[in-house]
Amino acid sequence: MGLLTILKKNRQKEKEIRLLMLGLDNAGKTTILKRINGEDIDTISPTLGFNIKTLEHKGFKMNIWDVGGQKSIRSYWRNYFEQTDGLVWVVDSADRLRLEDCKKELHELLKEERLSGASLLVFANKQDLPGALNDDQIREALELDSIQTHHWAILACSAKTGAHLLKGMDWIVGDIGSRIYLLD
Amino acid sequence: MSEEQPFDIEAIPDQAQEEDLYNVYNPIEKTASHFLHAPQVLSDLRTMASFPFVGPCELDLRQRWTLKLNLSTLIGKYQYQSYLLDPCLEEMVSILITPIRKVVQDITIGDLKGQPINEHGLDAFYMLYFISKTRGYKTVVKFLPHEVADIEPAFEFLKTLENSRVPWETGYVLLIWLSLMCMIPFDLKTIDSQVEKTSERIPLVDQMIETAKSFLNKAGKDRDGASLFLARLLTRKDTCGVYLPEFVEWSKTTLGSNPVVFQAIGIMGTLCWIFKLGQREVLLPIAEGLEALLTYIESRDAFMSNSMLKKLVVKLSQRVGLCLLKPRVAAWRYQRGSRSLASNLMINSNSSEGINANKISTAIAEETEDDEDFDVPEAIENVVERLMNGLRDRDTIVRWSAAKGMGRISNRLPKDMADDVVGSILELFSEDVFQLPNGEPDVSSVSEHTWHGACLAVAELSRRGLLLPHRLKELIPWIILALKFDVKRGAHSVGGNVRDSACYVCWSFARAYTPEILEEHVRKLSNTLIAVSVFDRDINIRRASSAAFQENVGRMGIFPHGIEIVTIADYFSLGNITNSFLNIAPTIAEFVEYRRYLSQHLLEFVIPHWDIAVREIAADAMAKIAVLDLDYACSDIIPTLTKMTSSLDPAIRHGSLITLGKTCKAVKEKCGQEFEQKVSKETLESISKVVPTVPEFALTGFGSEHVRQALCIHITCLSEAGWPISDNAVLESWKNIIYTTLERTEEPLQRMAADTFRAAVAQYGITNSELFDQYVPKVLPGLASDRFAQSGFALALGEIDYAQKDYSPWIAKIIDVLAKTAVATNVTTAEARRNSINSVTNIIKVLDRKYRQVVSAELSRTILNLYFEVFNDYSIDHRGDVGSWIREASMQGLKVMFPLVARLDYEATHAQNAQDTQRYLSDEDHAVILAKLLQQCVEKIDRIRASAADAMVAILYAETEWPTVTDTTTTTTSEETATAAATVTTTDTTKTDKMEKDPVYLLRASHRPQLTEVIRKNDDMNWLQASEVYPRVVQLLNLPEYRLDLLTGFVISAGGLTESLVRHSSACLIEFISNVPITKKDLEAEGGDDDNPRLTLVEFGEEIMNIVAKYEGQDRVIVPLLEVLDMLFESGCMLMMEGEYDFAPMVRFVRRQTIKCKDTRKLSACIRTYCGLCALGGKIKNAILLELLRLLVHPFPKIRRATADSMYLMLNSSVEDPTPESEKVAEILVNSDWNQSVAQLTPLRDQLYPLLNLEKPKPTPAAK
Repeated sequence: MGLLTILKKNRQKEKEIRLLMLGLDNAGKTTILKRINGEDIDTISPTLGFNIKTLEHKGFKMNIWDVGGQKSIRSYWRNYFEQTDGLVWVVDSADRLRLEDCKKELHELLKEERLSGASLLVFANKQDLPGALNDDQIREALELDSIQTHHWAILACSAKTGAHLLKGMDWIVGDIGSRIYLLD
Repeated sequence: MSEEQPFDIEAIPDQAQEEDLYNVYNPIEKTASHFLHAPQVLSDLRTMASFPFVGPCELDLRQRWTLKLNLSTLIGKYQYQSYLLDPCLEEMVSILITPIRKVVQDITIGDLKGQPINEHGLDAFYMLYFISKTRGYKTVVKFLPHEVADIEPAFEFLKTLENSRVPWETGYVLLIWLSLMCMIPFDLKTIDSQVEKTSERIPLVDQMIETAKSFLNKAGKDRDGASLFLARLLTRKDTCGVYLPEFVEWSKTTLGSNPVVFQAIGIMGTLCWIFKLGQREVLLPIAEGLEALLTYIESRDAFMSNSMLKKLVVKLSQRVGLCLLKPRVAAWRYQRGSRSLASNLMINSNSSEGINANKISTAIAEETEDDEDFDVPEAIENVVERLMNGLRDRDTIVRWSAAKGMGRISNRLPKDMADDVVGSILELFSEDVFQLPNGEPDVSSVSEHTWHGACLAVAELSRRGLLLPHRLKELIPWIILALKFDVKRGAHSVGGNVRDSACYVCWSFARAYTPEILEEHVRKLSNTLIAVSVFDRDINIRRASSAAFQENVGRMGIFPHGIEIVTIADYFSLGNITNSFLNIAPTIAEFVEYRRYLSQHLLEFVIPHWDIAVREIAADAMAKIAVLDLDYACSDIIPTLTKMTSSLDPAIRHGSLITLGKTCKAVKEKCGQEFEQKVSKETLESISKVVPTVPEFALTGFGSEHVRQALCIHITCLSEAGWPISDNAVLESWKNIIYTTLERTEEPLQRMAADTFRAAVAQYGITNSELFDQYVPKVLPGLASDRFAQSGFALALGEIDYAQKDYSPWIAKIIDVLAKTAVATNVTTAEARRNSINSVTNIIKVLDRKYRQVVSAELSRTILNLYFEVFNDYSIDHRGDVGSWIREASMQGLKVMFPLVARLDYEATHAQNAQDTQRYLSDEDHAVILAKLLQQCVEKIDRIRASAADAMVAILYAETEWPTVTDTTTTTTSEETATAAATVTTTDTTKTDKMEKDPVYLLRASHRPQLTEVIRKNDDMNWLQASEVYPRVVQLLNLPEYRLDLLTGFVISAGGLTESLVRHSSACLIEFISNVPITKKDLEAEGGDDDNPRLTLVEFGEEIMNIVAKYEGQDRVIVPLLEVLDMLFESGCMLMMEGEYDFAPMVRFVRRQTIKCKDTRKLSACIRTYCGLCALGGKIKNAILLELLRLLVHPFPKIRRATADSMYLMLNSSVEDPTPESEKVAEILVNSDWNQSVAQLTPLRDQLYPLLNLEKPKPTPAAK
């Protein structure tokens, strides 16, 4: 294995990104995934397990792992943390009652060693619903500004209408792409 | 500036590289841009999936194999571009996995429980494996279903495989599928039907672990699958508490109890996976105990002799180290630019498009210095030490693993410790480095493994930004050395890997540092990278170095002329070493920044290179580069080279001698008159002294052939350059070198010396006494004492230009000497004879159109006769038919001589004021030339036939027009070139006038149509192939003027020993003979005419006797002739001319051959021919029978047996009815043991006389 082989491998590897999509149950993770994958979103039931989708974006190949959000499953999220480049945290902006819960889970998650260095994109989902909090409110509610360990961004979106989903993916891919060659 | 640079250098070479890789394996096919075979593959996969996987197979073995093979071939085409499969990958996988899923369910828990899977099912598993092998299991596994319901059936099925004969692919696929499924985010207790509430244990997991363990001692890839599965299973949150420690304990005990090496690899592999996937807090308690295990494994020789196991030890050690350290991105690392470039850009861009600035985090807080103070566990020291040793390991995979480990560990270390690590890696470079007297480091005893490992580690560190800029100053000199590390050790060279990894380091610099940091090193780096790109011996290093250069150009933008060079020196142009050295290097040397460095690099590393081929090509490159900067060449390059020639190292001496010659020639030509002003007097003098001062031992001892080769090139170049020689002693020493080299045993050296001789004579002349008193005696048979000198000087005699006024009077004498040498078969070597002939040919070639002016008609006749005479050279020695070399030389000679002389004849006789009408070649000569060549073209040796055919085509189709000369390399002096060029232009114009006319052929031969029918111009016939040649050429036996020679050739082949040759030649000869008319009368009846002569059988018989008359006494022809006669009698065609032809001379001829003959092959052939002749009956038969009875008591038992056998066959096949006598004869012949002594056999033989109605001859002393 000489330099020429390394170059070949490197170029192939460099273009691959592993994203993990997490959030409380009913936040709309699978809907977002199906929406950006161009699939039908009418018949979605709670995820019992996980979904994997591979998508091309901005010349990168994204492997998105969407893991169910029910409370009973959450402790098994750890099974999926290996080699994660980016974390997509999906929030149900209309579910004011569980925002506290949501914040706790997120901050718990960010302590996870194996997620260190991963970029964090927060989707304030379900903006189409009446009474949904906007992105600034969510930012405050989740205390995003206190996060010093990860690059993060928040974006209001709607999986149903598809609004801003692309912009969010642009950001996370761009952020990961700009640093990936320095990491393993 | 580099970040924003739009120049995307990577796109092109990447594609190019893949194309190349692809083409290596499929040279015909072009690179695919998409999955071309998708429809075919998908439909085949559907076919494969459509059969039931249980019960009897619907296809037989052959059909299944065809299907499998087709699919593997189609998919395998994408091995090197496997990402092209991606769009179809999901479909491909799901086609196969859907029925697999079903069958797995059915036979484990469903209706078909307990039934075995059939071959179709196994094929589906195989294909799934093949896809995963092509694309990589990580990509493929994502498309496998991961439903809870599949876990138990898949596992049940896996259990049934344990002791079955199912192919390993099935187990492998199941294991990686299970490794995915066991990630499900549910407590495994909830899915296990057998679980007990109270227990911590999960029976399903217990079974899974036990089954997977049994796969760990497999030798195949299923072991890797099991490792992955185990690791995933054991690092689950609900299992890691109980099962993981258990497994580790089991590993330790098993490894301690002498497992087979496969199992050890399996266990270690699993542990590596566990440490990769598991969580730190779970692993920490285990990690501490592993150090002892690693030490134990390292102490076992049986384990440490396995490279894989050694690698796993290093890998596990690294992972353990990573586990002991908290994951963190080293805050102290060197970062190029801002990591949050994206956010920077967002701020600038229009806010409506991007995300609002305040909704994005600012850069990660710099970790404070306090953070550096965390405790590093002591165990880390062991890890680092182990990795450090791994860097110097003998095995490449171990070094690689260690290097990667170094990078990862250092990333988590505090700054000062990591810097220590860097320091000790740098120390690896200085291991075993000594100092040369001039203060330079001497790397000749360095271990290439250590340097390779060190380079890899440095590259890994620098990629991660862990090599802080202040280390560069110390490091770069080592890297420069490593880039040029090429050492000969024993009979091979080492260092290719070091140079490659040094390129990797340079490549990683480009990615790690900003231009400002590298600025001070740029000059050295770019120079060395370029020099290695064009001048390395190995193709992959040239390419790697150019890739590193490209990377630096693209990212740094500070390499001088970067982009121009990148376009010139790319992956392809550097692929060919000749192109790289002779075209790319001089082009780059046009840039002043690189020119002198390239010259220096050549002088220091390439001209003294251990590979002679590299030295030779380097000499040409040096000459091309030197002329770009004449002042530097004269003031620096040439003096340096001159100094190098006195080196004691044979490689340096050789390289520098050649280079000095070529460079001086090139520079002198370019400088013209100014040369002697530019070069200092001392240098000129010392160059002249180079040859005289070569020590004697270098010319005679071991390796002297290379020194002599170099000296010859050196002298040739200087002579051609017209080197000013003031001192006669120098010329003497040159001549001495030439003459002693001509006497060497190595033929290529003689050839080279002869070339040098030509150059020297052309420049400095030669005197009459030198030639005739010194050289001729070395060649002339009778006077020559040294056979090597004889052949060498014979070569040299042909290298003088006798067209020159001074030398033309000598030509007759010289030809005479060469002719005498060429025919002195008994006293000269074959080489000397061949060289003499070639020299004569060479003389003719050089004379060219002046031939008739210099060569008299008489001399021309001598030359032609010489060529004819050596066609009889059939001498053999231990190397076989060495005479063939001389015959071949003669054919090539005729090929040159005939068209030239015949054309000159034609011009002389057709000139308007033709006074000199004498022709040098008579009509008879023309026919004889062709006849001689025809004989050679049906002879035994393939190469000779081809050579003869080549010459014949040239002669047969030579036209009166001079061929248009495209290059004038044959002519020597410039004056001559001018005249030649002038003639060319005139002939060109005349040619256009005559364009419409039919060509006038030079060869005056009758029956041209028949000849051209057989020997065609622009023919695709392969004259090397016996089966093609003979059937075609046999027709020419009809032509009387070539008959004797051609038939001789045929006889020699048909009666030879090589089975295939005999078969092809004899079959068509016999077929041809069987169909010819018997007598002239018959021929007239058939209506032959003079234009279409035909052979008659009687003429054929006469021709046979002509051969006998010509060659009797030469068994080379006679033995095959006897064999051919036997064949002809056996085929019956000879007997057809009974009554028309007198066989008596033939019988007498055979009898003569049996007398005093000790060659059993010849005797056997005689006996068989006798028996053939017996069929004639009458007097001849009786005479022959008497002869045969005599042979029955021949002293050789073999001959007695052969005679008895042949007689029996002959008598038995005669048409007469058996009589009691003949039966008795047959009985005696068959039932006697002819191996008994002659004394016992004689009475037995005597019984035969009366039985055959013969009178026993009176015993005479002669006929015993």
